[in-house]
Amino acid sequence: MTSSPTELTALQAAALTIWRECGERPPTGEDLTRAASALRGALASGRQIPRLLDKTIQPMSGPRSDIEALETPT
Amino acid sequence: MTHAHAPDPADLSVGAAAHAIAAGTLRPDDLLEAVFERIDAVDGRIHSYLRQDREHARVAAQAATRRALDGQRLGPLDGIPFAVKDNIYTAGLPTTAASRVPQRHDPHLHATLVQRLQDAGAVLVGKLNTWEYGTGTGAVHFDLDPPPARNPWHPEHYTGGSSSGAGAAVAGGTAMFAIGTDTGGSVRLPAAACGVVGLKPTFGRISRHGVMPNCWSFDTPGPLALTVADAALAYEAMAGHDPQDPSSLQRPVEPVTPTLETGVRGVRIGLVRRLDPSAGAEPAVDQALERASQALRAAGAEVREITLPIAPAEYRAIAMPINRCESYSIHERDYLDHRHLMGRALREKLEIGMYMRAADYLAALRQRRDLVDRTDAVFAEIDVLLLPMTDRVAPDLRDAESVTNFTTCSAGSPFSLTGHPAVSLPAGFDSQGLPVAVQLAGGFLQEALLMRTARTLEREFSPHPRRAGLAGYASTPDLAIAR
Repeated sequence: MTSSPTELTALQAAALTIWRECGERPPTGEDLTRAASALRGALASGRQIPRLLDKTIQPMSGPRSDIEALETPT
Repeated sequence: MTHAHAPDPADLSVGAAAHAIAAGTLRPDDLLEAVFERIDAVDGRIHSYLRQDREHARVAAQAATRRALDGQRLGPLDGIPFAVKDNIYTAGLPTTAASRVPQRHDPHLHATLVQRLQDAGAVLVGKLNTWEYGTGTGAVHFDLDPPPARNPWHPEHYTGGSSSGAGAAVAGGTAMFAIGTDTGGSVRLPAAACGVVGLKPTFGRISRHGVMPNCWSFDTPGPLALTVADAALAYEAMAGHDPQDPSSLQRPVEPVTPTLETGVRGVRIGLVRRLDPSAGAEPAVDQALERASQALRAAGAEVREITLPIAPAEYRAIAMPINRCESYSIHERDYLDHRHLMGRALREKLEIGMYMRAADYLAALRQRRDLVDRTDAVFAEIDVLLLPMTDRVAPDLRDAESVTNFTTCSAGSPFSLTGHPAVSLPAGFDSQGLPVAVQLAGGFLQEALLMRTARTLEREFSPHPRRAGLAGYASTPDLAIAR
C-alpha cells in the first residue's frame, strides 16, 4: 500500500517531530521517507493486535512464574 | 587419519563419533582435523563460519584425546567439535553478530551454555554465520560484509534463519553440532531448510547469560544436530538453572536420552494440518505431514486433528510487535548512532520498533498471557502437536519473495510467543532433493516426551541420518548476486 502525497507529508512531519522531541537529529531525504513508511507500518502493526476487554489480565513479561508454578509437567 | 573406505569422521553423528572415541577407533584430535578438512573443502561454498579459533580448538581436542586414552572421558560430548551462532559471546573469540556496527560488550564474557558444553568436553571450533544481530524478518538483502550462508543440500538455496550458519554447518559437516538462538523460529527454520534437527526448549530452560539479546520475552537458545539423539545430548549438557540469567527456570531438568527409544504407544498426538486456511502448503510438506501422522499411528499413538486457538499468522501478528519493541529497546543506541552501518533487514526492523506505541506493546503482552493459557489448554487434551514447520521448502536464494515467504508461512511464532518446547525434524526430501520438515510441540518442560516422539518419526523418515554431500558442488561457479 502506498501513501498519498498528503499522507506522506503528514507522516514525515510526525516522524520529524518524534526524532526532534526525542532529542535526536532527525532523518532527511530518503531516510525521512523511509521513516514515514516505518511509522505507518508500526501503527498498522499495532492495529492488528486484538484488545482484551478483561481489565484484570496483566502483561506477561520477564521470568515465567507460570512455568515455575507447575506442580508437575502438564 | 581415515582409511579410504571408512566414513569421513566429519560425516558421523555425535553419537557415532562418541561411540568410536569410546571404543578407541577414533581420536578426538583426528576428528577435529577431519572437521577442519571439511571446513577447508566446503565452507567457501556454504559460508557457515564467520571465524574459527583452530589453535584453542586443537588444545582442547588434545586434552580430550589424553582423557580418552586414559579412560577418563567426561561423557559423550568429550572431544566433539561444535560451533555457536555469532550472537553468543565467547571469551577470547570476537562476537560481531555479522554486523559492521562496533560491539561494546565485555570481551571476557563467556556464555554459560558455551561453558557448560566445554565442561562436558566439547571442543569449540568457532562462530557461525547469522542474520545481523541474530534477527530479521526473513528477507536477505546481500548487504552485510559476510555473504549469506548457503544450503549444503543445494548451495543456490536459502538456509532459513536467523541461525543460518548453524543449519549450514550441521548439514555440511563443518560442525558436529551447533547452537543457535530462537526468537520466532530461528533455530527451527534453518533446521527445516537444511534437513537437520532443531530444538527450541521450554522458555528459560537454557541460560541466556552471555547471549546477545534480541527479544527478552522470546529468546531461547537451542541445539541443531544431525540426529534427535545428538540434539538431546547437547540439550542435556546446556539445560538447567543459571543464577546469572534472571529468566532461567529453577525446575529440575528431566533427562531426555534415557527414554528416547521408548516409543509413543498411547501418546495423544494433535495434528494441525494447515497453517493458513486460505493457502495450501507445498505438496511435499502435505505428504510429509500425512506420512508422519501415519507413522505415529502405526507406532501406537492416538492421532486426531485439532486446531490451534488462533492461526499461526495471528500468533505472529502478536509476536512481532513485542519482538520489534524489545529489539529496539536493546539496540536503540546502536540504531541511533550506527544505523548507516546496519544492513537493510536489521535497520527496517528496528525502525518499526522505534515507532511502536507503548499501548500496542502492552496490548500484545496481555494477549500473550491469554494465549499462553489457551494454547496450554490444548496440551490438556493432547500430549504432542504435529504440524508443518513451514509450508515451503528452501527456495532459491535469489527469489526474494519466496525467501521471505519461507519465514512468514511458518509456524515458528506460536511456541516462541507461548514458550512451549518445539522441535523441527527432517521429513524426507522433495523432488528437487531439498529437505522437508515437520514440527512437533509439547507441553511446558516436556522435552523428554517431545524428543522421544521426534525419535519415533526419525526412525520413519531418516533411519540413517546423513549430512549433505557437497562434492558435486565443489567446482560450480559462485552465484552472481549483486551485493
